[in-house]
Amino acid sequence: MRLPQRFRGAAKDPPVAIDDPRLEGWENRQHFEIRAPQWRGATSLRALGVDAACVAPSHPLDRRGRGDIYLVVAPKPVVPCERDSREPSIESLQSRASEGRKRPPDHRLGSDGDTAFVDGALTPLSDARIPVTDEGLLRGDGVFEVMRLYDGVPFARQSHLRADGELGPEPAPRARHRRHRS
Amino acid sequence: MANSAQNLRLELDIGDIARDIDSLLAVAKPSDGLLRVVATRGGRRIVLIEPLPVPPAALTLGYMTFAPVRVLDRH
Repeated sequence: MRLPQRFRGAAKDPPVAIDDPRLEGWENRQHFEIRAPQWRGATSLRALGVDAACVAPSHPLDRRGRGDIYLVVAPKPVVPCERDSREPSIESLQSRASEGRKRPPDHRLGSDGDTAFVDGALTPLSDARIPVTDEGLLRGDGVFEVMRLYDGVPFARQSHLRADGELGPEPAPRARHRRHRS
Repeated sequence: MANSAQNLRLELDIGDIARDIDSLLAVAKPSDGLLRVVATRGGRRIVLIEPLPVPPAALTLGYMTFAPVRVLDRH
């Protein structure tokens, strides 16, 4: 008769990697002297889709599986920023920044004469309201994103929104912007 | 933004957000500034154009250790 899982004893822990060259460069997240809790942490991270492992870089473990053990995770890959061909170059941005330090900021933006979009409706900024019963207000629950506008074009818009192909192509720039860049 | 919403289990139609942005930019015709997009749990979508912050006269740079919360890396 086969015993239920809880009576068969715990499954044997996977080995702790010692001097494994494949784990070089992984980020050290936690240090333990006891093996079991650390391995549970790696298992939990793997279940969430994060590459994690246990390493003992200095000395082998003792016969009870104890030693200097580190929980490491794979370094996060660097995702290059999605550049739009209409976005200004780095050199022009640096030039703008130096000019911006010399001139006062444009306080016309955000003034009462400006507009806002609330729930898909265009509204004067001074009249834009949301009810106090909104869940996002009551619980501080929501997401936000802030993009830099250069001549009315959001910088790295696709990267900010991260639409993964849902947005389609970027809209064409306005004529005055094309003239400005030519 | 879509990834953050997924991590919070917040239903967000990024297409609606994009259309709001396009509509606001077409009407407001801003030059330089900041575009703020907010989506709340209550289903509100807010898109605002803000002025640039005034930069300080001097900046100080320092080092810090980058330690992201890896649990949220799934999406």
